[in-house]
Amino acid sequence: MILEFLINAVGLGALYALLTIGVALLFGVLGLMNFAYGELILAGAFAMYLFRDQPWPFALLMAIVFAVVVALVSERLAFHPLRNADPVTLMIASFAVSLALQSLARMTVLPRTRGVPPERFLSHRVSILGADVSVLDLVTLVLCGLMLLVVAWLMGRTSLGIQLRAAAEDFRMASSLGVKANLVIPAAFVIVGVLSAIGGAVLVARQGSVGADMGLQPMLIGVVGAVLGGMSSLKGAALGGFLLGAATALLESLLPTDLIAFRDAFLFSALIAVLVVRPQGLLSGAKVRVS
Amino acid sequence: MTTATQLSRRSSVLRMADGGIHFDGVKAVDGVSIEVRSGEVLGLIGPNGSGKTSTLNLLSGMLRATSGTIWLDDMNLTRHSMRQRARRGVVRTFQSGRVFGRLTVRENVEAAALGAGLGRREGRALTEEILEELALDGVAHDRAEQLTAGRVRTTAIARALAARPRFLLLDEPAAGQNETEAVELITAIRGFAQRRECGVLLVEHDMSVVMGTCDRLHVLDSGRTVIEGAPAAVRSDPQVIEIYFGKRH
Repeated sequence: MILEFLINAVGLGALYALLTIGVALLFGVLGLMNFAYGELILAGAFAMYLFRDQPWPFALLMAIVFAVVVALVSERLAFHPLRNADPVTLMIASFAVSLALQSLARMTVLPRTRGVPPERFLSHRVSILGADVSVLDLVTLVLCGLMLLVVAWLMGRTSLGIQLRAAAEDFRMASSLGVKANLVIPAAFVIVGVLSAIGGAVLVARQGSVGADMGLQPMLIGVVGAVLGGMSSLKGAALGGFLLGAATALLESLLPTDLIAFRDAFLFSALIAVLVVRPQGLLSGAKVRVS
Repeated sequence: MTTATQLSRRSSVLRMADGGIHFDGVKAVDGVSIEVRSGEVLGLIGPNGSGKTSTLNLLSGMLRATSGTIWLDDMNLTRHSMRQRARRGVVRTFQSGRVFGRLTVRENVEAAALGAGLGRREGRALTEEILEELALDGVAHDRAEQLTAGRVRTTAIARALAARPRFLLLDEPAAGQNETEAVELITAIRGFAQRRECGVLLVEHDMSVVMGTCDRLHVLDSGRTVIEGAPAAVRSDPQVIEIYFGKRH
């Protein structure tokens, strides 16, 4: 029972952490609060629907391709021309991109919610150390955990990661040092595309359907988790997302059935309490200046 | 294989000819001609308000000259922005150190090396060399936001060196450090810059620091050049003694 809960909680935490990193990365590099993030998740989820008859790993690969292409096209068409715009303009542009993509999906491929039959192996349950665990929960945990490790390696151990983190912390200073905007910005969009595709694929498997507005809730989770952890810190954002996911799983397990409908009310009350104590988020720190 | 240390460039000169800037009618810099040659350390000294930082700002492009021209060899930089000049190899640091707080010291330096176009391996080699020379290797894995103010400044200088400048303009790099630490830091910068034939312009108010570390000195007072020459000649110049030493002792 405890192990089952732990796998569920850590898996959901890892999924939410992926979603929040996607939000925080673009916010750091571009100052962009990207409300079109949900539509990247939608692009990945739609690919899972489109390739539902193909092997799951192939559908997942296609989800990554779809989400990365949509991410790069939106960067090129909408955000690239606004690269030096202020954050409010960027945010409004992201609303426009979000609504345009959502409407396009509704008019063309997703006029109504489509059911995606769960992949057979995901609906199995296995016994681990005497606990009855859902394979879907295990896959969520392994896939999202693995992606977090890949992101941690990419950010911590590679040249691109160093430049991305430098740009995420102070884009102007990074570019004055020669860090190339045309490298880090599209790279950030590609990473965000991959993260949202994985998120979209897992969400489709968990809820068994795809709808044009399915990106809204994970996008909000990403934003809330990133605010909780600290928008200007990728580690903080991941922590915020993880705590949000784990707390969601905890509330689902502990709350009496008639109160589960109010889960989010409990969750966001706790969030407000945390932000009253640390308005800058859990891990956000001030920039270093010596004067 | 070419190592980071062996990289060298042809001899060049960064110079300002008859440069000046006025603020609301006040001449902060008035007809100053100054030049820095590759491989040398030029100390720019003078009392408070003499125009040292303004001169550095004119050379780096942070301020636009109201008169005169700025040259990098035969290229006229007068209308170039600070970023354009940085791309040409004219790099500056600020009196207030500014670093990426959440990156480690090593990553701060490495980011600049990568930004300058070095590959990962070459960038790492250069980073290690700079960290060792500026005595930052002991804190290489510390996040910059955990450092003391002096170390933050040194990290900012290390990062400027990693950008492989042709000319490095330093505004009081050793501010807040005692004389021994200041001399050690500037000597390290000097050694590093000389091996790469990088010219260094050093704004410093402490005469005892610049005397032992600079090849030449350029003395300003009230925005004008008083004298320029070898440290020994400057130290014994009566006008310098009058306006500089005279005011301090």
